[in-house]
Amino acid sequence: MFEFKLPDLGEGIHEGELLQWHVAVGDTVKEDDPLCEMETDKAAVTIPSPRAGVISALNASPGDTVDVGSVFVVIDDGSGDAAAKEKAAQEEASDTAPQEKNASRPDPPSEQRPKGRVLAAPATRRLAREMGIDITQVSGSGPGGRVTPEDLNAYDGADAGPDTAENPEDTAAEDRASEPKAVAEPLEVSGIPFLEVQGLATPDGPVEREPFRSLRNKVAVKMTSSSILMPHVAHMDDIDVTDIEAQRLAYNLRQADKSDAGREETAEKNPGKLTLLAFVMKAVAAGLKDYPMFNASVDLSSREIVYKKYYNIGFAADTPRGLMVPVVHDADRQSLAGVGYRIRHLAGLARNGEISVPELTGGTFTITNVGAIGGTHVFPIINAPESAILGLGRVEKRPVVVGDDKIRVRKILPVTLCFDHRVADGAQAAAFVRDLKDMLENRLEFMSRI
Amino acid sequence: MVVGEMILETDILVIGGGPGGYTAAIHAADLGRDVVLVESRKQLGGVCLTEGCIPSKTLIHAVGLARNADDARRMGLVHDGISFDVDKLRRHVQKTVKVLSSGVSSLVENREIERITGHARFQDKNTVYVDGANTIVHFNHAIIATGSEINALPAEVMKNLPDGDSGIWTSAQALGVPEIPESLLVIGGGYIGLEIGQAYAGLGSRVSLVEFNEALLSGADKDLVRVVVTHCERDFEAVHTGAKVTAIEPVEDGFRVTMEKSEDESQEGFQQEFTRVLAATGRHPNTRDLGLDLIGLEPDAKGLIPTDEVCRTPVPHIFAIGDVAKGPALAHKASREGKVAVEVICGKSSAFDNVAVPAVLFTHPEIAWTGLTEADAKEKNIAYKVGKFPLTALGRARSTGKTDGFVKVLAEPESDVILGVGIVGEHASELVAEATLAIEMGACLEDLIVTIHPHPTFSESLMEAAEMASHGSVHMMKASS
Repeated sequence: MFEFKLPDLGEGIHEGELLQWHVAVGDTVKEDDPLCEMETDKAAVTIPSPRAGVISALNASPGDTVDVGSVFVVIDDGSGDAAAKEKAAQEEASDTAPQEKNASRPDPPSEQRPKGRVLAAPATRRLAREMGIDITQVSGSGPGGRVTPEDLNAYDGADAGPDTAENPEDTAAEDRASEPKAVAEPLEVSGIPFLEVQGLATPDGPVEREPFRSLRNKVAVKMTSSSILMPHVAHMDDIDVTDIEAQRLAYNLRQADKSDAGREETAEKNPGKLTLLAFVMKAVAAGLKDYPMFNASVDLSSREIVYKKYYNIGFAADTPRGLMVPVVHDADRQSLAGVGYRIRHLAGLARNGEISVPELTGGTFTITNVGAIGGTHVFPIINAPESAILGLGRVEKRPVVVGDDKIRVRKILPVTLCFDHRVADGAQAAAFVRDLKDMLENRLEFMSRI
Repeated sequence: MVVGEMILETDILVIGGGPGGYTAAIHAADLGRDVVLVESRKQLGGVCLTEGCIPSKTLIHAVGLARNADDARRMGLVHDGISFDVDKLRRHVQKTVKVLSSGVSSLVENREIERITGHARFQDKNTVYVDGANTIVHFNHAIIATGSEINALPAEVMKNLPDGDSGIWTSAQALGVPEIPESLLVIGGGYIGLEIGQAYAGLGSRVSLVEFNEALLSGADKDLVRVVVTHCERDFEAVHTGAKVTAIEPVEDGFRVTMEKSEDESQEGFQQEFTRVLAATGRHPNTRDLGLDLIGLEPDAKGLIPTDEVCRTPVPHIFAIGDVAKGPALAHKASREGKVAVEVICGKSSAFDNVAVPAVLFTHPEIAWTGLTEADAKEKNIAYKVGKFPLTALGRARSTGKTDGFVKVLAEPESDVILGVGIVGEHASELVAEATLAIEMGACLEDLIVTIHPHPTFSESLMEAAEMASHGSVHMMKASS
């Protein structure tokens, strides 16, 4: 038996609200299978299973508050005594704050009926299993001590946190527990081998503290989840964009003339200047049709890969409020100029804080263009639940050896495709990037495919 | 691979098409799973449907009609005596089985469950070979539901009989009603022996019964059994308890059987001749020839496969249900377990957490009990109070002349929570269902008492017995103080 304690969810977070179980008692889980969704006051996280085995108990139900460090899942990993010893050792080592908190609560009902009989209707017993409650620990309010569904709803488990609003004593305990810790030891043993979340040592100089708020918090949650839960692989290449850049600049000069003549920019008639991003986005939208694994999502609940037959390409935009990813919907069905127009239009809305939720959602693939600011290759994190992201570096003139062994000055765009190794393999990534390279280096290739 | 071998892939393999197996297969298909069902018989339904519950209850019902007609002379029914057309009776039993079995087949076909006729043996943890169908099945999950079969008599007893067809009836053969023998010896005083013995007594055979133990129907409370024994002593030519058969030899028109009292070895055995002998000496699980050793499953001393509360064996993707798993060897327990196993495989929160598995004996009169028995309570030192209500005090029982028997309710002394119910008498098999529901729901005596039971019916007896356990029934004399 392995008793999984709620791992540390982040600095200053002592408890989380259980949103949803992904497993039920009796389920077989593999290591890293999602167990549940927890929400702290800062973020929602998916807790993965630290072990492979069979779920033998779920000690909380959706809506319950679970203390960090309390045993909330018991996994039968067939380890028996060894695990029990480990558990004892863990208990000794673990933070005692949650236990202290519990000590101030009224005694939880623990008396079991003699004979081990559970007095509850079959439907109530099933409900208890579904709620992850050990019904033998629930004291019944019905005649003869019969456990009712209401008793289950009222039961918050011997280890779960109390409802602080109703109990002033507990509020005091809560305050004690939330005092900042000036320690450098591990905050908590997480239960995941080698995973240790370090507390922050007392700073050696003046600092300023800023809580995670809104967009910063969202980015933190998304990026942590994505980088922990998805096996990322990066494939890098250089694309020679000398020719396409020449074409693009010439085109933009002509557009500038039109604008100078006072004509209004619209997507159809006068789309305005093109950026390199528009070319890349069109090439990506075309290429994804041949490489559906990069336009996919993993459905964890059904263990299926979901291949999307629509191509909504997001692009990372740096805004005063933080990182946003506006989405160009159906990029494959729009003209190059149309895509260019949408990019500039959406980026403008995002910058001014006028962008709407539909314009930020529904993406199937993301391009991040941080290279426009500087740097060569980037290593982007996949924008979950998508399965791949393309990072663009800065276009720079470089000496390149060309066909006849001469060195020429060429404009080079460094690209990185990061993909979810669960749904695709390196060879597919290499082929996809090679196709993008072909399209962006060879005007006819581009024209024939977009 | 052998030429001509079929290979099938499936999610769930169910081995055994009895009440546990076919229920599991259909439930799994209804939950959207790919299912293969292997059954060695041509007909589905297992022992229960083809040679157990269904044919025996059909036969017992027919005999009961004759008995009722006899009883009805008192009520003014006039007839010249009742007799049976054996051929017609046999065909009726066979037809009943056939209709039900083809019904099960239709349900299975209706779900497009792949059905294979043959004997499955494990080759490894994800493969069986089905002998008789030359088919290999690869599976993700398996449910073993191979049931049990009747124990043969000891070789020592059988040594004078011809090999192969010894001429000794099994319960399956007896239920085929091949004839109405002039005399019949039933070996075994369990419910199968008593049910078939009483049926043949009703058909007109002179029936004797021999049982190794001192008591008949061990497992049922003695007070319940006593009512049936009274009938047996009247209907049977002889009831030898504490006795065993030591030898059987063929004679002209039957068998010469040597019996001796098991207590007293010194005493000389006695011999008697019978036209027919029925062996009803218990059953053993069909786990000997499944290749369980190849998947690391080891049945216990009784031949049972170890399982947990969700019917899972130590091999996590393999489940065992019904007679091959612990608990009473009863069809309704098997079918419930079949559903549990399938639901667990499909990721649902299910468990065999039943408090009460009702036991029903279709003796004359019927015996049924559910939950705690008095014998159990005494053995485990569980405190209880009991209320008994005799059918002689029940209007409906009087009106039908079926006043033999009683209902008793066991309850926790302080809380009045109902722990168990025992019934002997007409319709006991039907009454026990309400009692089982009461126990599963955690009902108290008051729940049964204040629930209106229709009048005049046998169902009132349960309510009256609950009243007796609580504070006394309106329909019983006050105990003198």
